[in-house]
Amino acid sequence: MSRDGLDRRVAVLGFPGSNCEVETQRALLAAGVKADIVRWNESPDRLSHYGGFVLPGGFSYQDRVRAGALAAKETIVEAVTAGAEEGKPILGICNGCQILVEAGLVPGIREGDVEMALAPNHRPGGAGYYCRWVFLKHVASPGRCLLTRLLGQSEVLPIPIAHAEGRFVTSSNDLVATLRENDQVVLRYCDAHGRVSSSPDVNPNGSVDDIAGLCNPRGNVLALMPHPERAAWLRQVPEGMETLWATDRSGAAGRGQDLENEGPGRRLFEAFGWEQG
Amino acid sequence: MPAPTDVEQAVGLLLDLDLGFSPNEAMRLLKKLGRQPTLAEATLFSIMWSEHCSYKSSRSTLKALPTDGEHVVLGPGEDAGVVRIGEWGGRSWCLVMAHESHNHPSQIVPAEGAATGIGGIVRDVYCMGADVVGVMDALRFGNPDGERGVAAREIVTGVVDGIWQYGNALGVPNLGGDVAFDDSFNENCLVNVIALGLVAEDAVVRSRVPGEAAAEPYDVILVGKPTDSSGFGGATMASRALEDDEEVEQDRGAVQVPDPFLKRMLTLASARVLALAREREVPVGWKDLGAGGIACATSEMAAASGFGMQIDLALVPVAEGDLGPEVVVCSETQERYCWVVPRWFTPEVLKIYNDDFELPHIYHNARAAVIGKVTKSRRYQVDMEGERVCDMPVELITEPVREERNIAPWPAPPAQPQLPPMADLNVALTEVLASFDQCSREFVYRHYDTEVKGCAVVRSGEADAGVIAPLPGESLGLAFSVDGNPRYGRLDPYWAGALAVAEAMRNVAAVGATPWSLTDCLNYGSPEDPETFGAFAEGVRGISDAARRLWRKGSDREPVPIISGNVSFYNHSTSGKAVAPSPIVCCAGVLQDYSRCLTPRLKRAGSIIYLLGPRYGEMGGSEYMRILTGVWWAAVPQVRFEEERVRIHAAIELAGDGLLLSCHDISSGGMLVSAAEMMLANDPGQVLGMELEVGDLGAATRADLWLFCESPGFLMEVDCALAGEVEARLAGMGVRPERVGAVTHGDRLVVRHLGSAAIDLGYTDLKSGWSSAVAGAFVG
Amino acid sequence: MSTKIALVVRLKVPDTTALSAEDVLRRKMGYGDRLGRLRREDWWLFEVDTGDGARARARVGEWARRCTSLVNPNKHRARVELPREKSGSGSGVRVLVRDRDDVRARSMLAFLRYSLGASDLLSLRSGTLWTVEPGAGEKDPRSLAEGIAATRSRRRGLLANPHAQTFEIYG
Repeated sequence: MSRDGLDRRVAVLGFPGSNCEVETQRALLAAGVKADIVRWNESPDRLSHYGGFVLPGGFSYQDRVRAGALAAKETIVEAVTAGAEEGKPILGICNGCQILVEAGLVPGIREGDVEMALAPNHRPGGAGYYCRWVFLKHVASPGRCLLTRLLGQSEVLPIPIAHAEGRFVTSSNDLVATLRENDQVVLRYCDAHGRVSSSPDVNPNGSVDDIAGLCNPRGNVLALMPHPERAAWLRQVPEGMETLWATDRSGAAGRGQDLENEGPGRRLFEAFGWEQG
Repeated sequence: MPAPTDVEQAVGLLLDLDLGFSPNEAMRLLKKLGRQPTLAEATLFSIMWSEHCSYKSSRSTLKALPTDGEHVVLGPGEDAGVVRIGEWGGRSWCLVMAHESHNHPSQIVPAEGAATGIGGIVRDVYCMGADVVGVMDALRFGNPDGERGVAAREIVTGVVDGIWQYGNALGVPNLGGDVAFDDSFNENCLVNVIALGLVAEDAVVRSRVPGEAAAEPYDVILVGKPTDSSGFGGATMASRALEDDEEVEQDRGAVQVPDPFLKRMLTLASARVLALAREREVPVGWKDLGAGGIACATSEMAAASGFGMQIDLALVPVAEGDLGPEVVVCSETQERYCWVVPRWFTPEVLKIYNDDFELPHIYHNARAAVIGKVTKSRRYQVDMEGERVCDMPVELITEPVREERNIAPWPAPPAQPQLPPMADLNVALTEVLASFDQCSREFVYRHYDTEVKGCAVVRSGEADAGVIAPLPGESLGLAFSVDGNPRYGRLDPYWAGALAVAEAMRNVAAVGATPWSLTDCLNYGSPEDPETFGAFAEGVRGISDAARRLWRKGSDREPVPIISGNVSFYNHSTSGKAVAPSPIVCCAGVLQDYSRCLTPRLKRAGSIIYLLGPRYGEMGGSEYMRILTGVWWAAVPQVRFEEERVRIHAAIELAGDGLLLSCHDISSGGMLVSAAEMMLANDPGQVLGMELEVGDLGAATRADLWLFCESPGFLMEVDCALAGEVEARLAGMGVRPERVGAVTHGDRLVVRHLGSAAIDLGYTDLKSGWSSAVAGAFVG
Repeated sequence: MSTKIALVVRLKVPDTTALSAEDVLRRKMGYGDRLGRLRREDWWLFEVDTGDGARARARVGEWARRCTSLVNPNKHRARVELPREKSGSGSGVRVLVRDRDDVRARSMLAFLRYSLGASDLLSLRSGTLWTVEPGAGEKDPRSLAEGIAATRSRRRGLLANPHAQTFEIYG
């Protein structure tokens, strides 16, 4: 037991320009996980006692230079790196995902090296920021990734994306094959029926191998472009989506309490729960 | 006063400064001061007396608007309006609304202009102590296929980029908006922005010096971006027409650099200061800096509670050296706020901004700094390096000014000629759906973050209004819509105002919410032109009539109050051609239980479609007449206030009792377009069809006019089993619903008339033009 | 025959991106004394369907004037250069960073062809042209630029991520 019981709490890191700290903390609390929002310039020593980290979405340094590039150089990322080495659960969402990749924590095959990039979205008829709901398929083996251990194999999740630079790319020829071999590709874009595809209707940014979420070799760090905290309650699921989650949502009309129930993204936060783990 | 020749000379000196004073205004200023003003003072008054800040032409007309009501906490006057929306979780909550234009800057530098618009409007809401829960944008662009089409397209892209780049980075969701295209906006686009906030009633912060400043010393703290000259001249620009390209070139001094990154950090730090002040019960005043910069903000805070101010410009952090006092005191530099706090509390405030949130590293030389103090003298005094550059009673600055304007009637458009119907109505419908004005708005809203904060319930593109559940764990839902049709404005300024209010309320009611409060932004040409000023006055009358006569459901005929707004004049082209009169209205609605909210998406095969609202065959400004003749004719739709109110109230009641499956408003495009939109709202994987019958032609006289006329109304989808109950309930409320058809399996929209199919189109026929109309037209 | 012409566009207003990058390089990456100033410009490379250099320059100038998304005179200053020509004011080493998959240039190209009828525009590339000015104590400006050009790890490099971008150092 470390000081203040922090080892059973999650630190949601507020980088300069993060903007999803509050709802991410709320999603953790709803999942029964205690969480604090910790500012980038607070004591690194205290930070190192937390049991897990979430790097939330937003626009750290307003995506200047490249999304995540400047925040990756912040001093607190050292505490995140140390936590990753200790096997602590670490989830980077959207901008947090970009930071993890720019800091070389994911994919993390050659330790410390930056092995991928999150390039500007690529889709026909448009560039720039893109916000919509998509489907993800959980393709990793059961238990491979600490953060998705509560998802079923091949489970399909509706979830929103919102980013301008979300396309996983690499210039290394064999990296994608290595990622597959290592079972590090955790979540891929798919259609309502779980069919993975690179069609722009399905893969919204042109990501290589339709990757939406990648873990490190150890499986305790997940870099995920979509936003599970925006799908953590049933009410957040658009009622028109072709999914049972939407059917449930429409079915809850007039029963507000039911809409406060779990949404498809909740289990990623529940995975931080040490009690269950 | 000096002798007449001296007066002439004094007036001449003032006019020579080229600050935009009329000779009368120069006279007025000399009389007020009783001496020649310094350059800083003259600059200050030129901004305070601009249309943008003073409402000098519009104020007396605006008095007609209903702005008060049982729930109104703060009406127009402060930065934003505040209205009570009820108790949740044991606290009384208020909605905060602000609505402004940022038209001229967006024409000159579209991305920065629009972004600055969002940046400014959120400050107005934050500084009431509220959390901003959403923004909206109403955009009016030039004709993308017109002679200035290239410019129009680039402005579309730039403006949309500016809005997403600012709003998304700041972390406030976009809750909706609207887009319209018209030749009259070729050289003067309209960018109206709205910010919506939520605050507990006991946490509302006022933009004034607290009374406690009489008993203890109070500091004036300026926070944010270092002052620069880039914002200098912004307010006068907004009140002057874009005269020609030369002018655009010269106006570049007014280009402001928006910085949502800095704003995000300011927002977090300010929330911390507010929380600390509340915790320790420290009376403070807080205001954002907009047009008129330091001068405007500090003088208004002092005047609002009968104090004076002493400001030392040498203490103001500046970005570059050598700024004249008139620039430092009046610059419109973005991302700044002003606090007045007791002196003992000052170190806490400075620490939060400068150390905890590291402002100086977030933006070069940004910081919080003490720039002066509150005085009991009721004088406004400004020093620069030992020299007094401004010294006058504070009320002189804030005293209202007034400009009388002449009114002339708006020219009546030609009466509609008898025209044969289009031979193939399938073609008419697909053309209407593929027009710039009617096609899917996905090309805009996909760039906006609708999800941040995690409160989204219904998003852009899903329904007539955006819906959020802003208080986690509570059933409160808020719905918002912004509307205004420039085609109606061009033809009939009165009905344009009334229709904007009615449509905004109808859209809010269509999702099941009760219209609760309104804001308006009134975009017109020059008030010096009697026809334009007349159109403005008619627009205000239309808004006022609609707000009163479509009174709030559940009240004793209490108008839906207009709690905030803005007037934007001088929107015209090089040649002096004014934009289409554009009253743009935002309506906020309250849902006691957001789980009851509705969308227009067809839900169930076999259910019944009802039409509420007779078709009057009013074709003025309609999309159908545009494709049929390309010319604008008289007879825009009217708001029949009794009918409209009863329908709106009926929709709210039926939705609240769970009797409807879906609901969609009828406006631009007519009922047929609304029906098609109900089909198109389903994803390709779950398409449903519709079979409709042309109903009682009545005043519409012809099937095509019945289908395409834009008379207000609703389409409602009702489960068969509930049809009897719905019909009875509506009859009880005095609404005669027309059963026009049913939802079918399959993917066709079929409309029969006299035994044959007037319309027969598949989902993909409807969708292709509608979803790809703008493909290739815009950058990115 | 075709001719390649570069259009280099600079902001008249403060460039917050360059300022933030400079601040992070100094304070978080240990470049306090080595780095003098960091500047940033937009870079476009036009390939025009003509062998006539003057004509190619004229065409690029025309597009730049007619398309405010390229150059908006209210906020930009622009100059036309030959590729990799080092003109303009100031010293320092240039680092040209380009996206491997140049989405931005592709949509701009489509727009110029669609809206300005630029059928003689054969190709368009875009990039960011950084100018790294060494600090007073820096003896080897080129190695300074090399050090910050490519992101290799959390501690090393910033301006380009080689997995998505290419970079060239010159001047």
